[in-house]
Amino acid sequence: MTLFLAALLCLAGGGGLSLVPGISRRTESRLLTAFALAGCGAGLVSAFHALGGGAVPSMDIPWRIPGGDVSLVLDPLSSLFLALHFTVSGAAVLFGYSYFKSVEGERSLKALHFFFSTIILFTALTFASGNGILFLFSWEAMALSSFFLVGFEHEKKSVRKASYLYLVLTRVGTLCLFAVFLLLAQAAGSLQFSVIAGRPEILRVGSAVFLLALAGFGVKAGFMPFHVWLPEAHPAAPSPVSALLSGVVIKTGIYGLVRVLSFFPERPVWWGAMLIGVGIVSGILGVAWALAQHDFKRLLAYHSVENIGIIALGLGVGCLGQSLGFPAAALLGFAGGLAHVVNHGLFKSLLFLGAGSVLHGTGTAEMDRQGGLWKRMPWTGFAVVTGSVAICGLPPLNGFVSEWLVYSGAFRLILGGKHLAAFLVPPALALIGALALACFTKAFGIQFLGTARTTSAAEARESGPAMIVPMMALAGVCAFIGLFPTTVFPALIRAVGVLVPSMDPAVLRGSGSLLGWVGVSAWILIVLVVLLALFRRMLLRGKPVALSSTWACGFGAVTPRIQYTSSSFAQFPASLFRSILKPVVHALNPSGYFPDRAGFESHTPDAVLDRFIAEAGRGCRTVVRRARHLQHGRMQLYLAYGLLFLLVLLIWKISL
Amino acid sequence: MRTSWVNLLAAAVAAPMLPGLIAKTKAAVAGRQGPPVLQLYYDLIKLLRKGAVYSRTTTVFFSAGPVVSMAAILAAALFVPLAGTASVLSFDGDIILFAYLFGLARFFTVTAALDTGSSFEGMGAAREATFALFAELALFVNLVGLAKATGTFSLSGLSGRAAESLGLASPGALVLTCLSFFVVALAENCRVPVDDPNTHLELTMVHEVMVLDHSGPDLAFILYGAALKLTLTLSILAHLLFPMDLGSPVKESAFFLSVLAALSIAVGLVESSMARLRLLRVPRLLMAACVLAVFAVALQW
Repeated sequence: MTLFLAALLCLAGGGGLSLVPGISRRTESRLLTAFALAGCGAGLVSAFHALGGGAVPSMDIPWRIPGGDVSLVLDPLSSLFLALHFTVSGAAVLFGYSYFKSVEGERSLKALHFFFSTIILFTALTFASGNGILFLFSWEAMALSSFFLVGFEHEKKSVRKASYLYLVLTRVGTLCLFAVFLLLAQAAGSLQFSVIAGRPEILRVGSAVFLLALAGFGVKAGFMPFHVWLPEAHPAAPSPVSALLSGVVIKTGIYGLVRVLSFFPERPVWWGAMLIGVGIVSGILGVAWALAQHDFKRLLAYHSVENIGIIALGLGVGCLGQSLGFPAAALLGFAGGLAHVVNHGLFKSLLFLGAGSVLHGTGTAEMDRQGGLWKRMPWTGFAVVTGSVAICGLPPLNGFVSEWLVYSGAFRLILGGKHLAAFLVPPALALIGALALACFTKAFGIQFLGTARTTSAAEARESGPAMIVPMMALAGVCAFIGLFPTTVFPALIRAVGVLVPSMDPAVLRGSGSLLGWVGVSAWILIVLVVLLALFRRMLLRGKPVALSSTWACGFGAVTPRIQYTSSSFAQFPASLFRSILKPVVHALNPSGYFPDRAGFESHTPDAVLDRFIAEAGRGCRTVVRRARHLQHGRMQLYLAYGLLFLLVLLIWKISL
Repeated sequence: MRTSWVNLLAAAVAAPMLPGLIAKTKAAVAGRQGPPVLQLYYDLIKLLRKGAVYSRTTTVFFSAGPVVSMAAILAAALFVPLAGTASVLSFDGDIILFAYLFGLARFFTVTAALDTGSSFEGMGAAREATFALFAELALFVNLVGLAKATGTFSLSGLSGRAAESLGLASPGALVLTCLSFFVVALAENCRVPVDDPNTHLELTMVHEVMVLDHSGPDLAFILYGAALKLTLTLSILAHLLFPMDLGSPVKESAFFLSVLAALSIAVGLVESSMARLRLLRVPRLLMAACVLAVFAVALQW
């Protein structure tokens, strides 16, 4: 616990120092990086310590706010999220050190440094708090810090718009959370998590709490249709901030949901089914929208929606398994959901850092303006391809491990019972996986392979070591989890233990050994690849190996502009979803006998934001406009309202 | 365990014969003599002994494509039951690994195609990725139905018991599953009506166009991988269709090989009797396979 407090102090110190006037920008960013890295390091050690089993470190200081209490608890569930948080934050801070050096001119980075520290600090506090008031306090502080970070480049109109959208949505979410905690406090008589957990009284308000939590935390996590802020905020924010937002901050929504679920000793069957439904919708639609994007960061933002969907599927399988009485399915589902939280945090922040590196090296995140970057930026390319294989859930990397756990949980449910929701999970996951594969072969292939489409891509510069090291570290962790899944399994199980307090050890052993086989298969695959590569090299030794140009059916005047672009790659698959995606196409068709001009442009805005929410907003405005007649601004009228109100009260009182 | 290894080795050696058998069938229907059944062996030996030509645009991903996809298919072979014996490796949930290994092969084939910077190969890559959406969906609906019927979700258990448990409980469901699986197998192996392996127009190809620039050992790896993948998918289908538990290994092997040959001839007959579908029609065909699989699940509800 002391180590955790030291970590918080370090982060607060770094943030505070950046406010000291008079130090140069360079010293400031060095100090911040050093303090934040120290804080993340200390925090990581404390989180791992708490994950190792044994007594749960906790701390309690009285607070004068009614119902409040500074109570910090590092139980395995919190520690799992904290471990991810400090890993990703450390990588993002180190990456940011040289990324922000290139911010033009003598622009002050004080706000950025300050809020970068506070977001790490308050996210950690959100995960560790054991009291409702403290949780909401850190939640709000975290949300405000992310608002300021998203709005870092506030001179751009699109950035201001994105950050306001985020602010509005996060307020709406918090409103639901106030209701959640008030209901819980009223039923349990306390806001202390340890008191609420397991109380049978809270079942009375269970359904309301669940629905409100699903909406309130869903806004932060990015469940469809509350995801609308993600595709706006992520491209607007600087890349290290997007990495942190997507890797960790949206996971606070999942954490909150899981924490609230863990309070309930038993859960109705429809909760699990509803989570599965939300997961399927978010997963499939998230990746479908991602496929149609041609801005790399926007594409990644939609993929966060997809992966949050996979996490929801895991949690849904877990809930369903527990309610229907299948402990093995419950264990695998919850473990898969939580493992995917960690894995998605790792590979998505890796991909966002990769996107930042590409942006840094070429000056644009537009995929159709890249091409052939592998030759110019091999390290960044390696990071992006590792992240891509992982996010598609392919062996031998970590994405497969968590998806395998969710699949196994779902199959166990199918074998045991006949709940329709369980039958939908494997096909949905398969479709999501195949769509993700189309999306990431596109994202990687169009940007890094082929030839450069613009001069900025042809002259791309590889990023410096301070940006490459954090990417390689994250890639290494992704590979480690994929190759040694059994090493993380015990920690995962302890975290699941918070949700499912009584677990059968036989079930545990069975699942653990199956996961061992997944690791073995990953190694077999690696060995086969190495052997075949050696065999190929042996075959080619001493043989003529010639270089030539790509086969273009005999056409001689090939230019880089002829290459397939991300839009053309996505056209066929996205056209199958066009009734949902509603792409906007501007086409200038060639006409006449000697056509001279032709053009084609398509983009896919968020239909939920542009159609549904905008329509709903207009509807609200017409209703509210009627109410405007009440507010005439005339004193006499307001006095009359007062009189009317008193009269109504009088009549009510007399009639009683 | 030992017989499993022997069977696996035998399958790995015999795999290139199946495409030969399909080609022979097509030739026979068309009234031609056709290439010998062993033609693919000659091609492979020739290619392995050749050098290679690489495009200046390509990077390490171009050569990684054939290597990784063949490795993934070989790894997937470890989980496939052959001739009634259990697979070399088997655990609950290996069906997911099996499907995702094919996914890994696809990922690297597609990136290798994009690596050339050719728009033809880009087209093929986009088509392959799109058809896979439906093929994977149909495959997993089938797996869900089979898992429910057999009470297991390892590939060996599932395909070993399907013919008995599902065949007795609901023969209709078994027929629907096998039909649906056959369509998925055609799509996964790039056969008519999804893709025509013999087409010679770059614009209309799917799988072939992705490997246009590969030559020498790389092409050999691709051809062998494709043959092995065909063998594996048809073996699973053979196990779904008939119970392979016949008592003696000799009988089982003979029966298994004849079923495999019959299935290859069936593929050849399909190819002889119909043309490749229009690209936009292919998703409909695969959705139909999906619907068949859904009905198979519904029949055993």
